[in-house]
Amino acid sequence: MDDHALRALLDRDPAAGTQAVLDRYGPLLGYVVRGILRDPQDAEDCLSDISLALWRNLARYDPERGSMKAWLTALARNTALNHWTARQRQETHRAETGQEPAHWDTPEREVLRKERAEQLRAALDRLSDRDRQLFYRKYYYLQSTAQIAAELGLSERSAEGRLYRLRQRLRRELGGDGDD
Amino acid sequence: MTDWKDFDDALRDAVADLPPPEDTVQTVTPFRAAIRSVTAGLCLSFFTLDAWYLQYLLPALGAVLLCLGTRSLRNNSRWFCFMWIISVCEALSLYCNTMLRATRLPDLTAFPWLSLGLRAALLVCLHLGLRQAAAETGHSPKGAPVLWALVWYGVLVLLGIFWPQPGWIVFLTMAAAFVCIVRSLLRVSAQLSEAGYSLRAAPVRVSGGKLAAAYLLSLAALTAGLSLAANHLPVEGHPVEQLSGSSETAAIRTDLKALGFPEDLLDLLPETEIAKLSGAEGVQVNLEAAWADSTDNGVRYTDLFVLTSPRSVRCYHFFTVDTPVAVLQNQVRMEASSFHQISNPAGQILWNRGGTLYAASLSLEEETYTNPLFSQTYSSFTALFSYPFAGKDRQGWCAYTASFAPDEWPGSVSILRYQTQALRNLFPYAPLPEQPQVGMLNDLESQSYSTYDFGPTWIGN
Repeated sequence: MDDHALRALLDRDPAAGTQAVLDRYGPLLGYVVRGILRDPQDAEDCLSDISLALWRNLARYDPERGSMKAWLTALARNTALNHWTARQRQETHRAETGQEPAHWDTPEREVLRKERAEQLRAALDRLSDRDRQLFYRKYYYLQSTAQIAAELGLSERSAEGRLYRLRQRLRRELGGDGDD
Repeated sequence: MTDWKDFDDALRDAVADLPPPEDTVQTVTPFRAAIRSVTAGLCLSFFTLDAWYLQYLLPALGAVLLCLGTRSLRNNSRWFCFMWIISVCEALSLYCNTMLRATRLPDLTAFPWLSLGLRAALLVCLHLGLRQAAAETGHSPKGAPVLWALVWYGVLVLLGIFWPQPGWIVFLTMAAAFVCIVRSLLRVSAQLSEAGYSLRAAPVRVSGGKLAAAYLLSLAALTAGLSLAANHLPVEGHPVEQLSGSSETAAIRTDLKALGFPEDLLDLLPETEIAKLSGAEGVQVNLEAAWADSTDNGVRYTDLFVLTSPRSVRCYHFFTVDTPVAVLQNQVRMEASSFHQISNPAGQILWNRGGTLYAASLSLEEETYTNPLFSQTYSSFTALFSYPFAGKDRQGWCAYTASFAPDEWPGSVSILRYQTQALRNLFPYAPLPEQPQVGMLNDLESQSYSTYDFGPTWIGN
């Protein structure tokens, strides 16, 4: 069943449509989540959350803004990243008992974040397709170097080398010296 | 270190506002690179073009791509693992076979069914591996593109066996079959578009690019080296001792010079050959002996005939060679008219190295053939050889004795054909006479064609 048929089914029967989306794109969601959450139990919990989010939000999907695959990838990535961040905070909190967690989102930080995003967009536009894919695997899909290396047919050492050069270049272009 | 970690965290946060473009979303998969490699490898293995060495280059590249693709998939199921093993066997077999083809040893084409069997097993394993991968995610694959590829491949093989010289209709059918195979194989990639996310790429110790480069470059280097070694036909050279010899041969030399035998050519002949010219009665020389219609392959000729007795002529063909060093195999072939007996062939090649003149005897083999129309038997003498790589001023000569019946006077035609090797025929190895001809009229063969006539005024009749 292709995306067009899926959308038609969603319009006709949202429950059956959502289940069909999960059947079709379940492996994709699992692939994105397991790249970020290495613990199998965490990944299963996250996939359950994604299923719930899908039941609630799938009707909001707008095909004009991109493919369903891209939308689901973003949903899975963000949900998994939230899980990962929550787990990190828990562990930090346990280690530094009694300390208040930092306040992450201030207006100044938000403005700075948007500026950096624009700078990054310009830098990404200048990358080759191969380097852009490497970047997204590392920073968007948050895949491990081992996974990136295996899927690109590279040795880990070679993948590390490419990532190192990519980081140096980005750092140079984003205002750092990049020579460390 | 913390600095880099902060930078990584900043990038991770910033990229949340920059979701990947559509093509990146489609590209980031565990199987895409692998399955594309497999598909391209299969296409290149099926595809054969008998020109510009593509019949060797494309399958070698295809074998590498198949190995790299199946290497990534090998941990997912036993079928992919079998496929990987088969592709490694195929790549090794192709590697060995290519090298064997560069030598004088027999290659592995004596076992064509083994290769066909491996190819069929590879496709079956791919089909079963894809079905299993789809089944594990609850998908049911539509159709069987790989099996269709197998069927089409079988048709091609059968056509090749039972109809090796097909007409245009069969050729077009085969071309259509190939297009179908490619389309079928491309459907493999599409079929995995969702189910393939359950696959896991196997880690590798050597990057695919390095492995491919090592395979292809070492194969090219070894094949080139073996081709040069196999096509170089060594000769046993020895320094030529200048101005030596007995007083008897010195007298013969004096007589021959007096008859018009050029001194520089006489200096090329060994004592044993000069001794055969004892009692010479006449000399005829053709300095520009190349046949007018002959190709210029860098060989220049001087033909010379010595009347050694009233019914016997010693025919000489001297030649200088100015061909590229890459020309390894050379062939000389002396031919004469059928109206007299030819015998006692001899020949040498000579070259200069470090200021010293070297010579090596040619091994001239006689070939006879009979003209069925006139029941006449012709003889020719042929030799295959190579000049040493470092040799300069390459030249040589070859000769035979023509004997005439008492009622004939000595006069006839003598031909020397000199064929050089085309660079493109260095691989695969074959003796020069069995190599593909260059051009409609054999562009790399030139000939000298001279007539001689020692008529009544010469023999005193």
